[in-house]
Amino acid sequence: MSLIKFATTCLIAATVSQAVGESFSRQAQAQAFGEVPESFPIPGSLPDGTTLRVDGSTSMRLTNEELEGRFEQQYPNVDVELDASRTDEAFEALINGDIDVLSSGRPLTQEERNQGVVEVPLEQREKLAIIVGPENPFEGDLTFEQFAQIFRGDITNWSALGGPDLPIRFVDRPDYSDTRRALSTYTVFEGKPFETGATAAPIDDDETETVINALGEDGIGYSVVSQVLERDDVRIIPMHKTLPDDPRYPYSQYRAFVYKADADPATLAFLGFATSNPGEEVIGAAVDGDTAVADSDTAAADDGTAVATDPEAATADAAGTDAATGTDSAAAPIDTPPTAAPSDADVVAAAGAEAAGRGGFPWWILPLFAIPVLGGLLWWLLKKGGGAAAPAAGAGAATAGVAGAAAAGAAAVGAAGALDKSRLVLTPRDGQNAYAYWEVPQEKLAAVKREGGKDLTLRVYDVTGRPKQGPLPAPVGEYPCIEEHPDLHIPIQADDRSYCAELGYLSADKKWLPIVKSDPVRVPMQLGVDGAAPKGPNLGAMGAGAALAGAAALGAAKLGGKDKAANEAATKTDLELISGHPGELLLASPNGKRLHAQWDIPSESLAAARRQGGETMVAKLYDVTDYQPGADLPEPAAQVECSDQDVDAEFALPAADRNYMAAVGYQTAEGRWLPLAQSEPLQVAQSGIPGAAILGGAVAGVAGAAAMGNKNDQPSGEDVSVPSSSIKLSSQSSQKAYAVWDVPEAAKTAVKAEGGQTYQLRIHDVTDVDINQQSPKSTLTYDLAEADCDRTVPLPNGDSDYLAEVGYQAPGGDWLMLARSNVIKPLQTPDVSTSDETKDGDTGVSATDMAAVGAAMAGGLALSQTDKDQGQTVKVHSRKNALMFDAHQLHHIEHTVASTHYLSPGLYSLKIKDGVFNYDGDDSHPGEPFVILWIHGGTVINPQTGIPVSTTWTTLNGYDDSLTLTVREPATLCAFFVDTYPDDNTGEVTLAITKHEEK
Amino acid sequence: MESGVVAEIKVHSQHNCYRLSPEQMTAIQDNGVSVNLQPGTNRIKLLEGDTPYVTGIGDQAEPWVLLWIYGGKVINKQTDTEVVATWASLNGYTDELILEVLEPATLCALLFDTSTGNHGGELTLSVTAI
Repeated sequence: MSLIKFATTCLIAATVSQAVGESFSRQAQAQAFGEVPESFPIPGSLPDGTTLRVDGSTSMRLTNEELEGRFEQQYPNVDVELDASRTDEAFEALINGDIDVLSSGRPLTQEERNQGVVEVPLEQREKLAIIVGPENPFEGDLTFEQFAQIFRGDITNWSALGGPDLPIRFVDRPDYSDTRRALSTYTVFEGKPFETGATAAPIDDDETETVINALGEDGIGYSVVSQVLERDDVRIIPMHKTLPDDPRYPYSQYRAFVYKADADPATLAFLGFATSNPGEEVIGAAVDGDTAVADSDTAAADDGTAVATDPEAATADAAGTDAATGTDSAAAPIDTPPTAAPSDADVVAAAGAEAAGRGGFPWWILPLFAIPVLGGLLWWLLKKGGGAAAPAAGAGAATAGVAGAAAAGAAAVGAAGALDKSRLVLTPRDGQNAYAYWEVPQEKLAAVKREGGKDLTLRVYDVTGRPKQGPLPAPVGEYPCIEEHPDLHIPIQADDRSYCAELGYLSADKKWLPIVKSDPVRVPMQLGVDGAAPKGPNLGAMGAGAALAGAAALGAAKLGGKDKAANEAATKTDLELISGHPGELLLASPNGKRLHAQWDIPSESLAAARRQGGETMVAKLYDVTDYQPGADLPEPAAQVECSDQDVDAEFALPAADRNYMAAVGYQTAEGRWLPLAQSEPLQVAQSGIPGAAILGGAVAGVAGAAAMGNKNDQPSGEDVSVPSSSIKLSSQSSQKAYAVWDVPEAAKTAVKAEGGQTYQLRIHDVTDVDINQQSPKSTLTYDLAEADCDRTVPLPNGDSDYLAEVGYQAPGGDWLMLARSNVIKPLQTPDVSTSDETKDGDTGVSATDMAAVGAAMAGGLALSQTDKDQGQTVKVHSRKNALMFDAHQLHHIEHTVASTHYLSPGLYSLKIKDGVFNYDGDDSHPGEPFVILWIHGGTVINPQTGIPVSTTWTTLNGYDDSLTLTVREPATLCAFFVDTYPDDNTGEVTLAITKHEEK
Repeated sequence: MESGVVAEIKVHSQHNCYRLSPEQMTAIQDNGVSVNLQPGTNRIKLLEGDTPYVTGIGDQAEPWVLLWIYGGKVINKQTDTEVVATWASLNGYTDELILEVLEPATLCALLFDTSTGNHGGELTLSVTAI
């Protein structure tokens, strides 16, 4: 079937639409994490006689053995001495210089970290298995609660679990066991001391072999799963009808390698293997015996020394490694879905669907399995350029485990593709403070520094009343930044204004070299306390984008109704903060799929918590949707074990249209919960709505105190008008106008109470129309974010009269207008400057506004509605409306399909000299002279666009059409056609390429 | 070869034709922005908006769009040939396509792209009957 025929079959479904399809490769993004170097050098050889000593948790035994095998294969002259004693003792040995690498099954304590060590966590946790002996007659499964009751000795007989009348022996590991400690962090053990009961049968060491030997027919114990898989002397008990190869299986354990900051090359090489996929280690040159001790803080490759994969990109690999390769017992997947790198959401969804058939699974535990352990990793907000998919992929790759190479490959590709993924998020915290967070690849920072950048600086601009991406005014604040700390708390000068931030470098001569700019955000009006806002906006009825993203900023805002009740309850049940120096915790759902908690805990609070026994920092997520004031907090919907250095955590969003709250604190060895901070409730609206991924500018409105008072005064139906709202429309050129409005939150609240749902700007063509009596000739409609206060709009016709309205559209289509502007005519002159500020109520019409201009055709936005006799405009998004060609396809086009020509630097013109192309030689059409051109490989400039690019596309249509091209760097021209069925095409065109003399 | 012309390359309708899979064709028509074209003459061009067209990292991006026109007879005035499907591009804000629509057709606007990065911009395409 030819393209024409195929297209015809599709025509029936074609409408004026903006269907979009996100079809992007999911990416991982490498991030700096604490002091972990970005890479570890793996020299080609190590000096003879080198010995590497590794000791630590018994739970890391198989991981270490697998690494030892790989390491000694590369360095047969090096002796690796493995031991598996216990983490605390091995740590002392590390500090004393008795060993080189500590393999830990728990996060280091802050005290330990302060002793000059570097902790390299493995992103993949190891699952824990609940085990019995093969002769044990119990064949059922356990719930979390039942296991906790067994642990504590509350259940003493297998008959209580549906098994035979047989006493239970709980085979327990010693207190120092990292595996035991990992169990203690789970919520099911909260509230009571983490202690066994009368059924306990403790063993003397932390060896799984000892546990297995002690099981007998009545014992039950636990182990890291890799040490009990595929054995006939032990059996794993299902938990909630899942086994450890199921991502929903509950328990898992932290793992890390630790080394001293003055580590030698052999140690760093070992870490290089640990953070590389088997067979993918990048081996460099030899290190002779005189090689100086490497500085672990600068462990990147020296000359002649290659580096291993970025550890964060590769930790998933490493995790997959120890689970999937090497020893027999590690050959089975641990928590790996069958396909590589699904998103967390996918995992959860799939797991949910699957479990629906099995029943009984507590969904709150699900996010545990999909959360990367590297606390500094922020996957959220990659929405720009593949956005939401990218963070999901990052986490997905992390969960891929055995998918190994595929997942690792995705991560690596993602990391490489993330070089240009800079972003800066500015989030208001209240009326006086904001929080800026950025992600800028090191390569980008380095590039700007090479341009002269000296001091990394954050600038803050007051952009109230300014076009969203127009030129920035003078900054209102300038704050020095530290590259290693990609965030900053900044004061805000005035509330109820819009701000944006820009990160950049100042050069030595104070020249500003910008890197990335945030979206503008509205800092809400700071309201009074104690019910100044008795009824907040119905977040659920807001634009979803605002609700999802803006709620982060509104965490401290006043939430009405149910939300407020939850807030109060949360506060009431909030645990006493440890030291009287409460921390802050901000919960946000930047992309509608994940929840991101970020905290700032005073160091004295952390220290106080640790003094009181705090052992493990845990971030918890609570679903507080149905929370009643005065009630205890519900069971966490999810929890993440953190390291003391972490300042954030991510949770998969359990469900939309729910209210969530987060808390961070310490868990003691006895199971006590020492809270450090908790967030305000966050309402997460229905996900998947456009705009949900946009954080900036999506600050949800805060209900004004006057809202209730005004509510009953508002007329319903059309032409709802709040006197204090105003809008001004001014012409900027023959094609553009600038609308700026001022709508108090009280007005918004009132109109929404009347059913207003979608905040909109409408531009009406009112030529020869009495707008009070007649319908406009045409209307352009723009959906707005709650925080929007201005927009530049195209004017479809230079001869027409226009006015603007701002208001809300009700679900039934009714237009609830808040304000209407003056009438303008488009200017004939080119662009005029835009006023920065607009006074309330200033809706006067300037003389220039009224100037008549010549006809011009322009358009609107999104689903712009225009006069059918005039025209229409649509938005074409560079990502959403793009067809992606992958590397294979591009290679195929260049080397197999296209007619190509090498273009050396110079000025060219290209034209079709003769010939035609015909899609279907059997029909009567004569064919058309056209061709598609793809120019790539070097910088070129098409003067029609004037933008230097390394890839460009164009077509030539007809013999008079020509492409002028400035080729700055050698490039390749590919000329070709596309069709679904080329076999019946006929014709050939001749493309003439002329190189002109440079003037 | 004419004077000044450094090369002439032949582009064959079959040998130099990239075969789109049905899925790709569907993706083009689904992912692209579609506009129904009614009989008459239309001017199609990109409008320079107030918002700069930028990449995902804020760099200036090249304003261009690829147009796939199908489903009815049309004539691109540049080729002056009646066809039932054709491709054209608009490169820059001054470029325009004058299209005579003889039968109702569909204009599908999209971009071809080669990498997943640097996507942040949005272009305004206008279609005006003249």
